[in-house]
Amino acid sequence: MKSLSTPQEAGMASPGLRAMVARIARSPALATLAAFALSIGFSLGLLALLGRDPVEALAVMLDGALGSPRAVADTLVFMAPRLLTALAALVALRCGFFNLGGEGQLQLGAVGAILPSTFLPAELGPLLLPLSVLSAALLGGLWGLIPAVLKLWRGANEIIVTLMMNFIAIYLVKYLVQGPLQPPGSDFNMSAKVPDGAMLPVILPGSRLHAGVLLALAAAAMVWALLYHTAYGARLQAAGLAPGTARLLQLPMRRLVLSSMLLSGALAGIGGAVEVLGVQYRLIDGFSTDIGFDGLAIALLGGLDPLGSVVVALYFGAIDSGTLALQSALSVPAALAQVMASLPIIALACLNGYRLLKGRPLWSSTR
Amino acid sequence: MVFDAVTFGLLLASAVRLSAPILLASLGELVCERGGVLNIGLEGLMLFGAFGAVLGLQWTGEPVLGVLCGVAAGAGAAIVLAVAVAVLRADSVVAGIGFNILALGGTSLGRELLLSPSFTAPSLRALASWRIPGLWEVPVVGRAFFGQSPLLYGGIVLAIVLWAVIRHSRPGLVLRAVGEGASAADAAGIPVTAVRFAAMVFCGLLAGIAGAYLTLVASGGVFTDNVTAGRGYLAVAVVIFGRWKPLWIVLASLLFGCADALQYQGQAIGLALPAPLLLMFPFLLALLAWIVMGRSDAAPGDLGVPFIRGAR
Repeated sequence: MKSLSTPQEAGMASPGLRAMVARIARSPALATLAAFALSIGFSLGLLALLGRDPVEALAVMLDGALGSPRAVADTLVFMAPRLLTALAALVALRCGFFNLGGEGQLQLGAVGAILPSTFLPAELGPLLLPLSVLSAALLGGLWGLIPAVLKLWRGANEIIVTLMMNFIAIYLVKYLVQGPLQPPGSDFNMSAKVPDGAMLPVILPGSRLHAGVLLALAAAAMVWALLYHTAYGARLQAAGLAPGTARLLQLPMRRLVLSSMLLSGALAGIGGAVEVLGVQYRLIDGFSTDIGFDGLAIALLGGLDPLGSVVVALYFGAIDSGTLALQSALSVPAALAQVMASLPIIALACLNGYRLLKGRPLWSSTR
Repeated sequence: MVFDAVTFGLLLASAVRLSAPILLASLGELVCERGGVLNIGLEGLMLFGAFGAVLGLQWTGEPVLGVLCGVAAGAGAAIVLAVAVAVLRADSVVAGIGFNILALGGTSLGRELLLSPSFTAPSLRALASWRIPGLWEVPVVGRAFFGQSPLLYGGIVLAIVLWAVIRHSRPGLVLRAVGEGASAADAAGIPVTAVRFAAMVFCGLLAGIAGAYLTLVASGGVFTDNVTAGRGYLAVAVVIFGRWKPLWIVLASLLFGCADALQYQGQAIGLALPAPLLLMFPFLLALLAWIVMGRSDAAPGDLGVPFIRGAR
């Protein structure tokens, strides 16, 4: 198959990946629930192994994630950037492009979010906020466009290219906060604080809940409407699910890949802006703990559906706020959050593969 | 730029030294990919190996036992990943990315719970440099090529052995058959699942050595979170640039070792760039290599496709 692929086909992921995406997109809620149940069980077992009472630990986590308005606010604040990177992964995967570069696009978005505050006068006031978000979307989108162009132009494997570009972006941010964006006289690896006008306003006084959460939810609604209620969304899905048919219908494949990656990068970029303008208020080296990869897992666990992604992103936000509570109450290292976040996607990949092995795939593009 | 013989010798020695983990890991990845498994979890396997090596060193105080523990950690983690990918047919990219995050969190958790931050490592010189008498004193290139870790020499010997095995032996033929066309291999009576499982565990062994090299040879017996810093992903790229051929992979690893060495030797040769830009360089090189070389048809035909009997 691979050697027969034409230059036009080079815009798409390999048949195996495509089939996998299609399977996961249609995986029944039961498989996803089983994946979560397996990973929660494993995490509790791990806690028992660390000498903590699993029931007590679970209670602490639930209280830390959902126990009070402040806890819920924390969960939502952790959710927002992850939901945006999930939407980013979803838009690209739906078009058949395996974008593993959400992390890099998020980093570039964070840079974009800080640029207007750096170069424009603070007197612009609240005008700075929309400018910052736009500039984040633009930089993230352009960063996302690069692997798409390389794929169409040189047949470059998007998996490798996007992974490499993640590291380039991370070191670019490191360079910027140690050099050009570091305030004079400072020794810290961070930029100057953005002026009040560029900050995402807090919407629940006394908590960390900021307007970025609303922005992320609005983005989810918009992606939902775009995918299911516009001609563009239908073309995008066709290009991803049935590229052969899509070409036969003379859909503009190249334009679809380019535009979906531009959109994907822009969404991840806004995710970076939400973290910078809503939580940190400055660009900090290492501000993201794999938010981009979390997004990929969320998108797949959410069945590549915007509303499903909202639910799963909420779970991921709860893991982050819950493990923070666990760290302060029972001194469990916060790295547990990464372990817990990684388990459901591994479990889902196994469950899907096993269903394929047993000859009962719900749907397969190779049939 | 200052470029006299002494600084050149130092740069070369550093480049060769840093090419070792990439070489070892990419040889493991090569075996996986020739068997049809795109093992994105390589980064995580290296991380487990790096952690296991330091844990073994702290428990036993013996560098060699540390390396063995690293190998065991890499292989053990690879068995888990191989159960998911080779046996259960999980998609290797999705499972691999998840596995890498698991490795980041798991080793960080392990570092806080099991490693002592105040541990003083015993001398690791025997592991770090093995001076070949006679050749070691050769000016400029002597240190670079004849004063390196035995693990690196092992890697180069292994590359030659792998070249011979993959190309000229029955096991190599079986491996290639599984990678090129799993259904045809299955029809010929080759146990596809077992071959892929074994290839992934072999990859885990090598990734374990690569990780052990990073912590025991390159950073003096200390494990820091995310010590691999993307070298596993680089190794996957190196396999592609090496066109799935062991000897080309040796050269590609050397090139990436050179790029990696700039972060230490860049100042010495008068490359006055800030450190983060030098750290970025290997990844930039991988990206540029794509633009220059473009797509290759040398990839194994069934790379990344889970084997399902009866599927097209």
